[in-house]
Amino acid sequence: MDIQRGEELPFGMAEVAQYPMFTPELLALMRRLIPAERQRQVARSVIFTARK
Amino acid sequence: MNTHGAHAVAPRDDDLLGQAAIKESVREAYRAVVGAKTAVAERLYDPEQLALLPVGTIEQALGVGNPVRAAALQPGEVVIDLGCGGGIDTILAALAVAPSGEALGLDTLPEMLEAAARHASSAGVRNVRWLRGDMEAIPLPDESVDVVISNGVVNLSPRKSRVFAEMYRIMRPGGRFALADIVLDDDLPPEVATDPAAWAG
Repeated sequence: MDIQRGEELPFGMAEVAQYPMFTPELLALMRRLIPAERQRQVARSVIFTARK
Repeated sequence: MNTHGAHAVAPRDDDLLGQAAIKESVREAYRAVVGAKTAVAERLYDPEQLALLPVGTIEQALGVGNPVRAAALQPGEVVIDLGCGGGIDTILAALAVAPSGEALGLDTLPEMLEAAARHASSAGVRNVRWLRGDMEAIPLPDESVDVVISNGVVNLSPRKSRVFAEMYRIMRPGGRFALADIVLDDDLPPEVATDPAAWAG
């Protein structure tokens, strides 16, 4: 399969806080342990497309 | 298992890789979702898409991208949305493949499927079907869909390679997928990485 990588979006602490797996306790831990300069983008969302 | 997350579920003795515990943690977290937040949808979807949707499904949007836009769906296609949640992508997909196509929403939680069905009904969408099941064992025959979409859900599976195998199995020859999900550029601190939220990712 030929896999294409499409649109990307940054996910910082403000964005991950919208999701149910990220409990207040986990968010507090992340704010404490992840360096401040990384907290604006702790992850990225990516759209992958492919054809069979 | 780390217990920083309120949704942490201890693995059983016969669940050495913690797969069942991860899945139950995910189910508990998503079962607790009550909606009434529009920030996720407003960030990810076009105003023209949101205008087609009932408020309830917008409030339950928990995806990480816009796979319907990326999938370039065509009327007449059969599309399945893995982990449909409140149904936002399933409903948009149904509208895109109408009138002769069909959208299928798959989710493990009956609460989510019931909510999604209500939202579709209030939007007047009829070409949609709701399936309860796991994306690691999709309850569809081989080569039965044209398009697979998924939005922030594959990262929740403890058996991601199995999910991809299932996606491939159910796609017709020439079929395609559009998958939105989360990736990390750098390792997380160990205390964070061992939390169920990170295990799921």
